[in-house]
Amino acid sequence: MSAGTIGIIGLGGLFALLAVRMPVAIVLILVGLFGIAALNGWPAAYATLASETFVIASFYELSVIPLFVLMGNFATASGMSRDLYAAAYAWIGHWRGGLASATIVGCSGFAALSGSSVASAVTMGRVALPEMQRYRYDPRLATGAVAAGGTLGILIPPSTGFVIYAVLTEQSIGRLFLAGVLPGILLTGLFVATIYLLTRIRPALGPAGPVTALRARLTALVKAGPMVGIVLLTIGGIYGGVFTAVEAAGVGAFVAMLVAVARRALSWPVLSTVLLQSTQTTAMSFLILIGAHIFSPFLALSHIPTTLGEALLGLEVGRYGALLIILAAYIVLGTFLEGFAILVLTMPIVFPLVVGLGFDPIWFGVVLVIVLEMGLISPPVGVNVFVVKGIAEGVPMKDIFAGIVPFWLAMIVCLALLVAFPEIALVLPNTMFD
Amino acid sequence: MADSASKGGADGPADHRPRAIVWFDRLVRGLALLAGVVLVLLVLLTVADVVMRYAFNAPIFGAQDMSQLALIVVVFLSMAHCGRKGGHVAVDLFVQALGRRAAARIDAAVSLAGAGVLFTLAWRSVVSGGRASLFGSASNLLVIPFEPFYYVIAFGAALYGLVLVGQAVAALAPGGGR
Repeated sequence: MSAGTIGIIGLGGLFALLAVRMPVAIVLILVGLFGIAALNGWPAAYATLASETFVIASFYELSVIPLFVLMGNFATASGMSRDLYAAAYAWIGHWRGGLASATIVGCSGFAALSGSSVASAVTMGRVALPEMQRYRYDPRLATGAVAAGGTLGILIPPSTGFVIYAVLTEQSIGRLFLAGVLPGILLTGLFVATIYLLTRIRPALGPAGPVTALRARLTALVKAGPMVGIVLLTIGGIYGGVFTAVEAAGVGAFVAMLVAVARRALSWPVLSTVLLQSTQTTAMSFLILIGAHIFSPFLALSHIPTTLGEALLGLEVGRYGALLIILAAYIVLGTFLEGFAILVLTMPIVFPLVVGLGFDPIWFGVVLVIVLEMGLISPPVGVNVFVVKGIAEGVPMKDIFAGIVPFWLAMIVCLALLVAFPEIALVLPNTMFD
Repeated sequence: MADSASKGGADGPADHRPRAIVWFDRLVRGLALLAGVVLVLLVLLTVADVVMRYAFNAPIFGAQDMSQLALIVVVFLSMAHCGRKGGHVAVDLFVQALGRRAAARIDAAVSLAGAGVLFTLAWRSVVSGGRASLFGSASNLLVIPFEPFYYVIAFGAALYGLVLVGQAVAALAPGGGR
């Protein structure tokens, strides 16, 4: 049997096992192990299994994952996300559609504390959805804003998506984090503009909230101070070359922990939940990465990535034509596969191709993460949509998806801007101190 | 991108399961909490290193060595608990169409195959641990031997394997499955 045939059998097995709900990480290990054994023998397969596991689990740069996850969970436990929404609400809640815009801004700020889109949608949804119901917002706009705003979690640093991408493609985590900042702000602005346009055309969608007095506005701003401080400390610290990404994560987690202690938010049940959720996310991320590092040598040995790459180049659609095909494929994958899974499954194939086409690897990481965000809110398996559905039980699924459409279009605009002006992503990483 | 927000422990008020299973669950949860404590220590170590470097121009010798090895402990002591809580990402799309009994059987088979993978990982990590001690593999600066950490990986993987065996049994039990 040729290497290519074994590779194709392996990919078939991979999809079959995914279809019967085997955890993605275990599928990757299983297929990678048997695949390497078939191509290079069992001693090679066993060696890869044990050594890759040890290497990934002891990979120093990867400690950003548990540290930033812990930071986000402490921040949530201490009520920082609520403060953030309250501040945004105080300042822009009286605009037309202002509560929805405040939700987006709140999500964007929460995203700067948390690397998870699901966590962003859950946290902001619980705070913002009841409020928007109270002011008789159209449920489509309300749920759409939470689902779309939540996706900012993996674009605005810290982002688990970027860490995974960085490790899979050997890019710098710090540079990727910085590359996500301006596109994250841009997308936040585009979401707010979307809400403005929608409510301008149909004011009934999102009535204006009450005006907040200046004093109350300032109080709200002060309360959001610790959160702003943590963001400036971590992201600013990375940009200024004061901290490495790992150090920024450690310092951020420490400060978030202090704030939680100072606010007396850490009862034993809360603390144990914070610790268990943090280690759970950590274990999940690492096992997937371990799986990816056992699966991808197999894929490389089968020569499938090079074959596919040559096929794509053979289409002669030009650089941007090829990019368009790749991104379209990701949008389709994103509708039914989980973001992590997509990254680990496709990077060994797609990354060499994209770099071969002459695109900047950091820039592509940002574009890819936005495309994965689109997958989080598109049918049939938009994870964030299920999360929002879990909070807003009365709203039918089709209304949530309808509410998402305008935000989805805003993401397309953001992608187009990034392709036209790659500097949006690259200016910060290119000017950082390191 | 996918962390479930399940709360609380496995030990509810009215627990009628066999004692061995209750204790096993407590062990799995306790180890994950221990992993959480090690994670907090990792935070303190990182902060102390930064402070020492900037304030006293004297970074902690071998801080990276300690972080690296602590990471193994955090990851593998919480592996089984993550599996117990269904925290490992799976693709939920196709099996829904099947009947309950068929789905339960498939679940059981998938869990057992997964257990096989994790027991293999445990076994190979024990073998590699032995080799690491033979070759004297150790961390860069502090020369901490790697051998025991291979056994931490083996232990965590085996424990997750046992969780999967338990899930297979539960799926096949009367009234089990989804």
